[in-house]
Amino acid sequence: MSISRLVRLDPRDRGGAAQPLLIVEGLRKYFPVRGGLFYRRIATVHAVDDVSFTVSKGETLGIVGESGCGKSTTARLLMRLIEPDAGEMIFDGEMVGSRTGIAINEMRRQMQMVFQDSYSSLNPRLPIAESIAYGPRIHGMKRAFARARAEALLAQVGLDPGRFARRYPHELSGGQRQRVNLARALALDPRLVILDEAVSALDKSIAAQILNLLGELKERFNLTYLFISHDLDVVEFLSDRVLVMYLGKIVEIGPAAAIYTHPQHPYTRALLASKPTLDPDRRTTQAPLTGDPPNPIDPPSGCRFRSRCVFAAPICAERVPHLAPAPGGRGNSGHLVACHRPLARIGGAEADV
Amino acid sequence: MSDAGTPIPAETATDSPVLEVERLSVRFLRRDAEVAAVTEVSFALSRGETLTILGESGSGKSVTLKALIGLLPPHARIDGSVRLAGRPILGLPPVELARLRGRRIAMVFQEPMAALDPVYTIGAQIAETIVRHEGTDWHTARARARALLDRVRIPSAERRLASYPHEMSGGMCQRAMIALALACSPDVLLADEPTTALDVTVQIQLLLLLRQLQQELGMAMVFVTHDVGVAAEISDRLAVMYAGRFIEAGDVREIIRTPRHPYTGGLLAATVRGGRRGQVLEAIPGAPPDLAALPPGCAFAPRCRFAIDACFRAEPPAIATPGGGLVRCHRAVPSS
Repeated sequence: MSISRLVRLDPRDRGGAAQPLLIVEGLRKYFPVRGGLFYRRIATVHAVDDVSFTVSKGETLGIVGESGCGKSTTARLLMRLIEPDAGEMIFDGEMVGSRTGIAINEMRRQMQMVFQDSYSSLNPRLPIAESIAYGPRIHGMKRAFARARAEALLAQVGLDPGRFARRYPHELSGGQRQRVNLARALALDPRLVILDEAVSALDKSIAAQILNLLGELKERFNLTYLFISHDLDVVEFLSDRVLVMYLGKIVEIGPAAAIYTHPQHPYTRALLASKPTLDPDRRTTQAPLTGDPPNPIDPPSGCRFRSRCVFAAPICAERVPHLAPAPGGRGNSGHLVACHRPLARIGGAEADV
Repeated sequence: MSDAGTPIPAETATDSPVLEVERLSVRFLRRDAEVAAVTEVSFALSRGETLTILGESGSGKSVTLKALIGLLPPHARIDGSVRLAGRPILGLPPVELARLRGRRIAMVFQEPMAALDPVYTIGAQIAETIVRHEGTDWHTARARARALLDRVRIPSAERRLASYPHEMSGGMCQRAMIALALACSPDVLLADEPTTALDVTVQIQLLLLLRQLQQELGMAMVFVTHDVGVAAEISDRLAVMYAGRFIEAGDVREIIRTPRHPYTGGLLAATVRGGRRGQVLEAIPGAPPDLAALPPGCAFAPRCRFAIDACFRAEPPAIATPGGGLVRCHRAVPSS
């Protein structure tokens, strides 16, 4: 499936429709674990390790993985909420943070984030309209204009400004607060919105409302989404392309349809097969994986999944697999897998998911 | 066993329900209002059976479980009756309740890290339960604790007995808590979202484990979840809860295939599953009602597409469905 969506003309567009909105190259973040005598570094968390990907204009890229796989750290690195140890980012053709490129502040104006916890991400002492207006004011908009913009945005996310503008976060339900967080993210008119588990804390009936809203807003504001979640179904529902992470590494990336119907990495297949079936007559009889995800502190050598992989061979311990076109994937479909023994090659491709 | 106030028959006939709940209601009294958390919930459960209570936050599913095992705060007003193996257990004095808890009826919580005691080892916590309820010596209790850890498939059980909760992963802690709950082979296991905090690959392992242990031990299980998929994996029977009531209950296949209550249907339609990419989801509009100010009539009516005048006037009666379930709705989808 190709993602050929017409990118409407945006005055801020520098590189044209073919230029990816975001290119991430070799992103890395290790956290030290300190302890013992003199508070020395006793171990290292390999939170994000050599992660490279691109986000095209107008697409939704989903990132899935289990806890500790580095998906949220990746989001925070992109926003520069934490400093990467290594790696480059190119935003619409301009190097982020370099003297000739785009400044971090300017990038943040075009790239906004919505967090999982709708309550802790809003200032409890500010009425919600003030929270939404805060960003534009910091970036130099006059108070009255910012306030008017906040009210217009509240209406866009389905909250009547007359009723809600003056309310405080604690007076709203979780779904309403997440709408406010969306409005705030949109207040600076961003091009890329990072949604980090944005619907995970919501009840299903409310999450469905927010997912529909995300679709509407994307069309209306010509947005590109980076959608991070542990919920495989929600990621499939929303994403054009999907990126699967395991212990700080990308194990597979490609068009959503290819990943969900023909996963090539044994981990991706196990992850998908772990979903509850929703059919009492076809219940899961055997767990696809045993044990818990290992700790990202000092991960296994070679392929990080090998310690849980049923197909692991000696080579998997010796060499780190790099992302390469998936066998069986059509030509330049962009389906990449980091595995020495991808399923198509070892005859596991037809296994049911 | 001889210390129990009223003797409880060790084995009851398999066809008589081990847990009977009748018109259980829970009210919380606040300064300004009365919160109707649970309203007239009734069910009966036999050995080896699993009832799943499916509901969203605030629907009363956890409060129902806590009422069954006597864990609600003193200001909660509980009405109705709960019988465990024929013996009424609501309103038992705390001492007698403490004898039942952990022995005849046990509970597994959502957050194993918070439910286990951080300053005792896993082994000590399990052994304590056995010593306390069965009066064995510590050496025997420790050996049983080891066997229990094996049973819930904790690798290197001997070593893990000496572990503290913080030294174990979330999945391992939850296994340890299941071992703790099963320490005295209870008749009834209450499970409050035990897999919600876990990753999907670990969740399925725990669900399979619970299913298997339940069959081996012949327990009855009441499982609470907000996840339709989890409910489909674990339940024999399903009860859908909304605003404190069972609005639909019955066989899990029946309900998932032909939901009769508009809320159940809405919940299933709003649940994202594979192959719906790019579609608009059928979200249920609005939000659940305030339990301190329930609307007259059906609590779901303000959000319901099919609501008619009658729905806003009178609480719908429980209607029996052909599959042996019940549905509380004036506009219940008739059987085809």
